Amino acid sequence: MKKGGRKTEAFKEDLLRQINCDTVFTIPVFGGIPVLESTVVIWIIMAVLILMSIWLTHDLRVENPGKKQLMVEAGIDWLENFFRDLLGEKGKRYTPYMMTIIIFITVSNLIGLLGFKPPTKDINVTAALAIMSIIVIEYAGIHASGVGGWIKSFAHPMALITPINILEIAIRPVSLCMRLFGNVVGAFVVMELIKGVCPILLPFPFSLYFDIFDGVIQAYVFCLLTSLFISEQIEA
Amino acid sequence: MLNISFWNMAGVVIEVLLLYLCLKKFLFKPIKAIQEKRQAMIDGQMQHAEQKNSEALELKSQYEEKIASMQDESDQMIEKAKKDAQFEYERIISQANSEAGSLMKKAKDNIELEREKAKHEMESQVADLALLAASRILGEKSGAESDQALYDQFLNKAGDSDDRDRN
Repeated sequence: MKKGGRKTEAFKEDLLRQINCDTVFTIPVFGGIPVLESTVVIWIIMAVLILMSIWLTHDLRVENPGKKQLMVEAGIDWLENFFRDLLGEKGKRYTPYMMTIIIFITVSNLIGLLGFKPPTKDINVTAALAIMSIIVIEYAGIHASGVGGWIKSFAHPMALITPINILEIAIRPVSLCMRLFGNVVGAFVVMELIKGVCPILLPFPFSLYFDIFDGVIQAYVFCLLTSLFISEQIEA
Repeated sequence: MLNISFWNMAGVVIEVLLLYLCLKKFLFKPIKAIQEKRQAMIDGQMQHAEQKNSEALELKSQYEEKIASMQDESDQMIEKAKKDAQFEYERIISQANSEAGSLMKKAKDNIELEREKAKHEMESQVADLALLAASRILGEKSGAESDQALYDQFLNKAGDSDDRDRN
């Protein structure tokens, strides 16, 4: 590929088209709500997850569980222990939410392998997730130490850094949102470039990292940070 | 990609919340419930096993006690039998002794009686002889009264064979 050639232009066009989330259809209420591709994929993910949950838990047995049940239980236990360690005994109530988020982000990041467009490639999705995270974080603080305690916690550890603490309310979700979004989009672009350079064999090891490992790691990091912030709020 | 729209974000928030509620209902809750049930079952079984164990131990101690008491009982029985036998033996011996004693006494008594009888006979014979002798001496004149008097006199003179200390 020569730089600035017609091929490069076409490649760029294609990449942009792929990165962009198209509006699939418009709901004719409130002057038309655009339904983006990411939303459709989220609905698909939701449907699959919920149906799988129902299928996996429809014949749970107390005694001699089957292989399927053992796997589900082991996975859920693993997640639960992971968040239990991060959140502590006091933050137990946020475990189901965090488990949902980690499952959702992991599936969203990996769904590109099945030919869907990952919803996390849409900044609206990552922004929404980050906003929810910050709401849960601050709610945990208010729930643990009351409104007064929560307000006082901004002067913690000293009054001087109060503005920084207030800024963190905005900074944390932005960093969460941008990290996830940037990683997914970056991985996608890099993969497309590699495929453009050599579509045979070479993309395979890179795909293992960029598509699978990176997707899982980003989900892990997002939830890890959210959990850490929550436990910090609870302990404060 | 980078066109932020409020509606979309609101939609995602609602969708994620919905997913959260559904997963909680269909995945986390049932698994938690089943694990709690299993825990309860295991606890129950453990408790049951412990109970059984303690029951068995109790039974064991009971049996041991019983065996010990049986040993005691048999010891007592043997002891009693020994005592009874001893008692019986002593009773029989003493009975035999007393019987033998009484037999001896009877025999002695009999002998005594015989001796008495013989003595009496001898006495009467002596008396007769004395009378005879006296009548021979005195002749035909003596009457019955004099006879009696004479006899008594003779007796006084001669006395019993035992009464040597008397004059």
